[in-house]
Amino acid sequence: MNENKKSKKNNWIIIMSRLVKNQFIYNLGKAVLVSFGVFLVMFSLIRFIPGDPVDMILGDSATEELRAEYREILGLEGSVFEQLKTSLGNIIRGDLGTSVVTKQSVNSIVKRALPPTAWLIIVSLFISLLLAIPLGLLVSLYRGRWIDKVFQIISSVLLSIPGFYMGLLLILLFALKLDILPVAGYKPGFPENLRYLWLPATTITVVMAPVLARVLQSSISNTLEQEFVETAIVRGLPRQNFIWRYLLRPSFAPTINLLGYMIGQMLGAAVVVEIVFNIPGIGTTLVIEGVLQRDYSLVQGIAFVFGIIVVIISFISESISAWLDPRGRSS
Amino acid sequence: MKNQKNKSFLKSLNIEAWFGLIILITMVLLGILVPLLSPYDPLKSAGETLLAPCKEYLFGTDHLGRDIFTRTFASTQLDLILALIGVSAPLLIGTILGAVLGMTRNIFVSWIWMIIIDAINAFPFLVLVIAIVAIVGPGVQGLLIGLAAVNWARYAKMVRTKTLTLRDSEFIQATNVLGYSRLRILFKHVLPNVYPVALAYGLSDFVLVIITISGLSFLGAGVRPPTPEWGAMISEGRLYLQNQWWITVFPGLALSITASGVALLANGIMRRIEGED
Amino acid sequence: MQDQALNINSEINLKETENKNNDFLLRVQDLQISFNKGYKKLLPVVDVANFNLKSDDAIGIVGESGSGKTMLSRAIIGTLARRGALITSGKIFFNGIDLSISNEKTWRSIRGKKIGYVPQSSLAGLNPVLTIETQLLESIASSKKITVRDARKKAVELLEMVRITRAKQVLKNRSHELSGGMRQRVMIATAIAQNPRLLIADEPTTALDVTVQKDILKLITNLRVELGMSLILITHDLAIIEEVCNNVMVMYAGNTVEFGSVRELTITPKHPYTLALRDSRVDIASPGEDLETIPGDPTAVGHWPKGCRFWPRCVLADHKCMEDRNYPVFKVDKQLSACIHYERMEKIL
Repeated sequence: MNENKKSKKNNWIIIMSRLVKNQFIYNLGKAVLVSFGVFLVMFSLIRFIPGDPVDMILGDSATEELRAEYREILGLEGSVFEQLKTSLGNIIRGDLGTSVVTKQSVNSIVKRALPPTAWLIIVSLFISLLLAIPLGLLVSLYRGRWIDKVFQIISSVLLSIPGFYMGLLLILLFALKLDILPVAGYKPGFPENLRYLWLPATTITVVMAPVLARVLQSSISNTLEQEFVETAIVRGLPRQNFIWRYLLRPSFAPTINLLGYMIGQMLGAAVVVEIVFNIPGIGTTLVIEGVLQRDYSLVQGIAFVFGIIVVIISFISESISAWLDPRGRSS
Repeated sequence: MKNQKNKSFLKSLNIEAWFGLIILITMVLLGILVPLLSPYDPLKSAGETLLAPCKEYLFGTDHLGRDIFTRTFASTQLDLILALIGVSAPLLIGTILGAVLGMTRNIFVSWIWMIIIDAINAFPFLVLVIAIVAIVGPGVQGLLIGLAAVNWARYAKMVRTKTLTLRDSEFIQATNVLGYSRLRILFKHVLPNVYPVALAYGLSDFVLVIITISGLSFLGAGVRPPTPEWGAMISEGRLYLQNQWWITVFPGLALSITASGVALLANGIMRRIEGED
Repeated sequence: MQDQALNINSEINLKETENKNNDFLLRVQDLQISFNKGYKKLLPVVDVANFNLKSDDAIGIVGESGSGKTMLSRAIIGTLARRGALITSGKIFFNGIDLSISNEKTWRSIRGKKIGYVPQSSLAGLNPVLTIETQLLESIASSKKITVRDARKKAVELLEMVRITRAKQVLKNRSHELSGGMRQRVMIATAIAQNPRLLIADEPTTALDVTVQKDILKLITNLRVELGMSLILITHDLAIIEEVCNNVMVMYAGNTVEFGSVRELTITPKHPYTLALRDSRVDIASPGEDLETIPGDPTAVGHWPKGCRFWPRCVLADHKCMEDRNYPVFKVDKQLSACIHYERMEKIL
């Protein structure tokens, strides 16, 4: 009987170690752990407030009942361990808490605010990729010539213009002076929302597209230097085949990896852009309804959503890039 | 010997870096001279409100009658100094922590810290900084605390990675064999080899920090009016954008140009260093 | 002595009148290749190279690293531009086509189809994301129309030709799943896929285990016979050349110092460097005795001494060798030598 148990245990160990070595499982595990870390960060946010958070919101003159109520909403009742348990339990069930200011559930607020942000990101991503891929390809093929240098300088300059300023400039030009596009605001539903999304998406694209093109270019340059590209040339392979199979496809893997990271950046830029253009997404909600109203639980909840979205997107992009590059590594 | 090295380094900088350096020096000079020489007080009204740019008021006046030209360049010092702190603090904290984490043999500690660092890096930068500023309260203090509390993680991760590769190199193993104390190994051998990576990142981080500082001030969560700060000024001018565009445009221009200068300089230096390698 | 120095061009002209033009598949004449360092600075790396290859012939190009042999092969296959180099003077004639002034279109008709190239690092030469089969099919079908079924059959044939067992299995693999020897064979298979007239193999065995080396060399020799290809084999190891090639061209510091048949060069080398190379071979060293070495180090590209580049390490060197001169080539019996003291060679053999 003991023999059986032992061999079963050994089998388990073998299976587990093989699983962990599998890139996909590794990424998944990492994502789960980081999500937990995101939760911890969110959890500790409120608890680092100097002084009593309830005081901050209510002021001195609140009744004991009111205070207790708020304490509960913020999840500050009980020992730290109990708080952790409750909070974690809530999160796993999908409950992000309640807003202390409006008493609505954070979930409902996020549900309402997520679509505009999602649309904004999608449109920005679309335009950025449309511009960045040909640009990156072009620059990488003419490396070292003046096109490359000019591109460098222009992208450095573009990256240095803050998003909110660029947005205001675009508003000034297109909405106020030329009056082609609306100044701000948003209408839900596709494709009506496009009219309101052009300018904000352009704002984000102006910053993101050069970066994407740069990443693609550097990835293509790395690929170009690889031996197998030289071999492909030497074998006399025809041009179109060559560009896709030998330049773009192997270059995509590290690019997609970084794309996940870039989407995270875009989310950050989206916050500011949303506010400038008055788009009711999670960015505006975070700042206007959360930060400026001292609605700590709302801030907590939305920050958590941001973090989780980025973790999920990173995981997806890592998985796609691993699938594209069967070596399981990325440069 | 060292002087010679520095001189030839300067001479061999490429166009980008020179561009950036010139822009930066120009802005800094203006930032010092304009507030000094200007007849106007950046904080007090100088006359009529909402005047268009003219000979008297080069950039026009804002809704409170303040001269925008003076205010714009008065903000230079503030923003640059804030950015300097906002880069150095995370750099120092992150580098030391990263090096320590890289050298530690304790898997448990290493893993826990890495999860925390990865989690912090997962949030979009602005989002987490805003959240922290929400907690600790707006103002310059909150701003700097928020920046430091978030940005250290990026430096730490980078330095740790570099330290890990260094740890397996022969000369670190040699110091172990020689029985040097861990502190000595850290400070005398590890740090001098990893800080260039951190510095390089710090250069490009500078731009991000400048933009974040003005961004937060724009949102009302950083530097508050009436202090002249580019982001805050841009926000103040937003209401008047249609007709009195100069209130917003000029501070923004100054901000963009300064940030570009830093970016070009940083890129130029990075390419030069990479070229060396 | 000077009147015996012949310019290589006139040497070729002589040969031309002796034989018909078609006899030579490849002719390299006074070829100079330089790196373009930007701002009009040129750094010569091959200066000058000369040799001729008949159809069905096998030439070995031997030299130390830095001798320019790889750049020479790159010039023949047209990938100099990638490395920032260019042909600054001289000619390369392949089947009558002047390769030194060819455009991309011409190159594309030659690469893979008329000249097959097995590059130095075949280990990294295959595309990591594609299967072996896909890459073989690419090489097979790149010019003529061929049905997919026939192409696939040909792919299996090719793998069998390079003596890969379990060809069908290997077709499905990717490069990182194969051993070094297998990868090398696959590279050779792609190079011969379209039955080129000339196969250039750059250090085909350097990165492989010794046991595998012999197999690859045997394979190359067999393929040469089976497909009737000419061969240029580039290596730093004279032993390999002796096994596989008929003629050998010795390069030192970018210059062809000797050219002739393997037999003649081994028995009666007409250049001190060739002699030194021959004597420093590890495989024929007598046990118990010191290994022969060539004193000094090869000079770095760009720091070549004036006059004969080998003089700092040469036993025959005298003041005449240090004079700056054009590189004459002397026809000695059936060999070509760049040494002005070639007559003295007999004394030191």
